[in-house]
Amino acid sequence: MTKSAFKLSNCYFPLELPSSQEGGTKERHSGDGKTTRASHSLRRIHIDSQVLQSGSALVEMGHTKVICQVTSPVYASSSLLPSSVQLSMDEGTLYCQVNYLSHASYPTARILNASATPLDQSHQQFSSSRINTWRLSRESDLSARLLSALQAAVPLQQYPKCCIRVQVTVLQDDGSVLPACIAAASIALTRACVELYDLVTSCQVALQNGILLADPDLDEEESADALVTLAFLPNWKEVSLLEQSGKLSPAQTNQAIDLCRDGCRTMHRFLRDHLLQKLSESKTKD
Amino acid sequence: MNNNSRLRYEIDSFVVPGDRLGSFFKTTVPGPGTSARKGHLYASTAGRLSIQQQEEQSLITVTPPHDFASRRVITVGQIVLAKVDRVSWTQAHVSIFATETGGTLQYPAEAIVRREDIGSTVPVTHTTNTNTANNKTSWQVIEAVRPGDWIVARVLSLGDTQRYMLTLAEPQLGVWYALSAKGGTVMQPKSWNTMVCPKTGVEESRKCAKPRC
Repeated sequence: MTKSAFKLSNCYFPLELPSSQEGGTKERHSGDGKTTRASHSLRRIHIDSQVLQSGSALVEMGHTKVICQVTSPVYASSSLLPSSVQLSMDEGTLYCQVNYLSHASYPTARILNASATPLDQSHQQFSSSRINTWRLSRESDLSARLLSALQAAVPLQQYPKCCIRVQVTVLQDDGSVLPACIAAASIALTRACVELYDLVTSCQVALQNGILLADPDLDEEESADALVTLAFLPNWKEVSLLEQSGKLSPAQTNQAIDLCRDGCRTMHRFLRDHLLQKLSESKTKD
Repeated sequence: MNNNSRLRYEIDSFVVPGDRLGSFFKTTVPGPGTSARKGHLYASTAGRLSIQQQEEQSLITVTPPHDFASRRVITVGQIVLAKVDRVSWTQAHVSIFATETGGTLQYPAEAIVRREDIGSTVPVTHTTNTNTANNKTSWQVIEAVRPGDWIVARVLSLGDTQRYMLTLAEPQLGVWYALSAKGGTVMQPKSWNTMVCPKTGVEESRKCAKPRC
C-alpha cells in the first residue's frame, strides 16, 4: 500500500514565553498561535491516520503530539513481544506501550528543577539518571492507564493465543498526553481493522484556583490543584478509566466529570469525522 | 432494499465503530462487523453498511475496506503453508507463513509437527479417495520432511505458549516444494513417498502432498 506523506501541522509555531504576570486570569492559548480559548474549550485537534504502516495514527492536541502504531495479530514467538507478555489460549491479550522520544519530547528543565536540592544542582552527572527515572516511571504509568482504557473496547475473544500490540510514541508532551494517546490508539485500531465495541475517547480537566479548565496544557497541569482524567465509550455510555489526583470537593468532582464527558463527546465528533472522511476518500479511489 | 429494516443509517453509507445501527429483532441479526448489546446493534468496524438476506433473517453487516484483523488469527482446522526450519528425532520445527483465511502473514508463527502426526494412524475418512498404499503409519521425521522444505499442513491444536501443533496425516498434506540435497534443484514428486531430482535422477524420501489436478 502506498505510504501517504504526512506532516505535523504546527511544529513550527514558537511556544509562547511563560507569562510574567502574577495572579489574575491568564489567557489560555489553543495551540495554533492565534486564538485564545475559554476554560471549557479543548485545544486545536489535528488527526491523521495511516501515517506509518497500516494501522497507525497521529494526533495533535495543541502542542501535544503522539503517534500510535497498532500491530495485530501478533503471534506467540514473535520478536515484537517482550517475554513478559503471557498469551492466553482462550482470548487475546492487549499489549500497550507508551514511549517518549528522547530529549525533545519532555520538559527537561522542569523535571530537574522540580526535584532539585541545592546539593543536586551541582552534580550534573546525576541529572540524566533523574530524567531517566522520571521518564521510565511516566512511561509505565501511561502504558498501564492506556491498557485499562482500551481493554473495555476490544473484543479479545476473537484473538485466541494472539496479542494486539499498541505502540504509542509521544513526540511532544504539552499536557493532556493520555487523552491524546487514547484517541490515537482508537483511530489506529480502527484503521488496522481490529473490531472495536466503541471508539474510546478521553479528556482531562484541571482545577486551578477554583476554576475548572478542560484540556490543560503543561503549565496548567503543573500548577493545578487537582487533575481528573476520564476515558469514555460514548455510544455504550460506559466509563473505562476515571482518575483523579489532588483534592476536590464532591461538587467539584461532579462538575469536573461532567466537563470531561462533554470533552469526550467533542473528541468523539472529531474522531468520527476523521474516520468518515478517510472512508469516503478510499472509496473514491477504488 | 431499505424498506423492511429500521436502521438509523442508510444502507451503503459509512459507519464508524460504536455507531448504534438500530434494534435487534429476530429477523434482524448482527452479521460480520457488528455486535449486539442490550437489544441494540452497534457497528464494530469502520466501513460500509449493508444487509445480507439469509433465509428469513437479514444480516446487518459492516464491511471494512481491508479484511478484518481477526481473520489472520490461526485457528484449529485450517490449512497452513509452512517452511521447515529444523528437524529432530521426535518432531519437525516449522514456521507458518500463510493461512487459509488470513493469506500471507506479516510475521511468521512457530509450530511443530510431531512424529506421530505425520503418518495416518486410522484410515482417513474425510477424503473421498482412500489410497490404501498411502497409509504408512509411522514415519521417521527425516524421511518425511527436511529443513528448507515448504509443507502444507493442517492446524491440529493451539499447542502451548510457544508454538502451534500441525499435522500431516492426510493424503493431500505434506511437502509441496523441496530442493534436492546435492544440487539444489527443485524436485518433483514421483509418488506419495518419493521425490526425484530432474537433473540427476536421484530419489529422495519425502511425504509428498497429493498434487491437485
